[in-house]
Amino acid sequence: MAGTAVPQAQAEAAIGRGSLSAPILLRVWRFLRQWPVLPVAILASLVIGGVLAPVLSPHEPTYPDLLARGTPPMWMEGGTSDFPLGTDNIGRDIYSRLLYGARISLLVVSIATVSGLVVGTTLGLLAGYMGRHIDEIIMRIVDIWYSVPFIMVALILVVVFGKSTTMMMVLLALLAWTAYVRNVRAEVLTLKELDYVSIARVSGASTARILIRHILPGVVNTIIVIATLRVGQLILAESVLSFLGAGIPPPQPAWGVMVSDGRNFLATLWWISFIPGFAIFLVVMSFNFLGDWLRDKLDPRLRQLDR
Amino acid sequence: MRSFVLRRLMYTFIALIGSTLFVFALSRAQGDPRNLFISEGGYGVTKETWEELGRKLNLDKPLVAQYFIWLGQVVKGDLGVSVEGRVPVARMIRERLWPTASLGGVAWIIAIVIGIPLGVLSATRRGTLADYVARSVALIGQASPPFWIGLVAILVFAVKFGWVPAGTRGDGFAIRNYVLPAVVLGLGPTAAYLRLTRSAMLNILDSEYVKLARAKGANGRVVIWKHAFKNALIPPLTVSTLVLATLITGSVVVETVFSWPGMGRMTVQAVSTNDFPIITGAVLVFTALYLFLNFMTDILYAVIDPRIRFT
Repeated sequence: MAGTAVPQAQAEAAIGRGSLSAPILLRVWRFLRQWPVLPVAILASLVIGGVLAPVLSPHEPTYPDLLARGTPPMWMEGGTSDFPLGTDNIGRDIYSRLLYGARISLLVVSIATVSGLVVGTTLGLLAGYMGRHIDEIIMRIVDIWYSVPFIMVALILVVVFGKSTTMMMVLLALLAWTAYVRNVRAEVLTLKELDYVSIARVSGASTARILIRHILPGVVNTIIVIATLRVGQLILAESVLSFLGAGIPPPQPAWGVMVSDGRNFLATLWWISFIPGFAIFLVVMSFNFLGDWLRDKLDPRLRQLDR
Repeated sequence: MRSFVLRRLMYTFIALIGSTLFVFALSRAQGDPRNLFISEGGYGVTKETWEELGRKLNLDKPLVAQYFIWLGQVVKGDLGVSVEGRVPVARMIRERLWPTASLGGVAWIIAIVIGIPLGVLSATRRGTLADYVARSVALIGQASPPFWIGLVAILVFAVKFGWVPAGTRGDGFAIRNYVLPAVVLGLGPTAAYLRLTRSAMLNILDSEYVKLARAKGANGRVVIWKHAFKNALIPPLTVSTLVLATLITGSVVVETVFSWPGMGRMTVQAVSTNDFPIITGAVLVFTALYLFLNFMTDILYAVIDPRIRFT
């Protein structure tokens, strides 16, 4: 539509005159640039879809409707609104599987994030505050952990202990914890030199009390930013392992498994792989966006940190 | 400088020993190694042959001794034989090392050649079309699952247009076979280099010495390439660890997607058939490769940036 385009000169003039008189589209654009509306909307629908999957999904996620197999998404020729995103090669509804897959991802990633966060933050607090030997030991362990390729650790652990949803959570927690240690430690090193911490110490507060009451609140922003930036990476790692057959065991509809299922039908039933992969992409991008935005708002110093 | 190299060497060594301990512990946790050599349920195996096999595999010795015997074999290049087909794992890896290394190398070169200049461009021309293109590349490269990008690339360029072959490397070194897998594998590292170069460049262009150079009348190009660029290279160099990890994960995924006859695909196949000797061998080789390359980049980093030697 030609009428909706905002000519450059007009747009620039509008900026000069202040936001109230700016054309509506420009105001919308500015609003979208200032607030992470789209990422939040995508993530909100992920959470709602995942939590309400049993209510929202029209079909059983693992039920193969053999008569309807290979139905394309509804906007394509031959698609029906009965299967909004089509069905896979054995007739399972992709939309329902996507919702249940969101449920699995949410469960796995949130548990892994919380456990990685708790362990990592605790170690970071200890390393930063106690210093000396404890610091040295913790940081060397982190260094060594960084120097081993994660995918290899994950694959060998899966072969030894078998793949399961629990295993997936453990693996992701193992991937998550290190980032907290390094950044929390760095933060604590500055915080512990501040006067209010010294005062707490001379007035006889115990180490645990100082760490929890006086230092922890100072690193909360850092933790929130890292967690948000990290979640996207965890979702990506989960999907990679599931794709490789070392993650969530089928027939559970993890997104990575769904992409892998469609590999052999790429030339004909391309949507089986494309749709779940695109969903992963959107979700990871939203988390990255939100993380960047939070970082700029809460803790711009972390900008040097690149995961 | 010397003490820095020695210290890095020590860390690398500790990590290497640590990973062999880890692999050995897991190989024992996985069950009695004899089970790999006999048929399901132990049919036709007498107590004598079972114990004979145990002696042959040194299982009658203490665990510590077993570790050192095993380590000695690994150092000599004996990684055991695969469960399926009884092929020496070392030979399997040797055959697949070149396809994996060459694909990873090409992808790495692509990432450096595209990521770093695009990062500079994006920083020096903020808000222009080039900047938006660069940032979109970074965004996509960071957020997209590599297997999905690979499948979409196959769908578009091989299936729809038929420009490049969809799959295997086949025999010999044909450049067209490398195009799709290498670009897909290089996307993540490209994004990493791009982001870091961009932010480093922005920081440096804002620094006092660049402002001074500008104030003294040095022309734009000289300031960017002579004063800023060299220092902006340091952060991308430091993430080589991250890039390497991305490349290793990526090669496992990309080789699976493109049916590439390399180590990554071999590992994934071994995971699905529970072929334990192959997996331990692959993990050891990948880890050693990773540690070695990390060590090299650490040294390179110290050569370029003298400040790092004293930390």
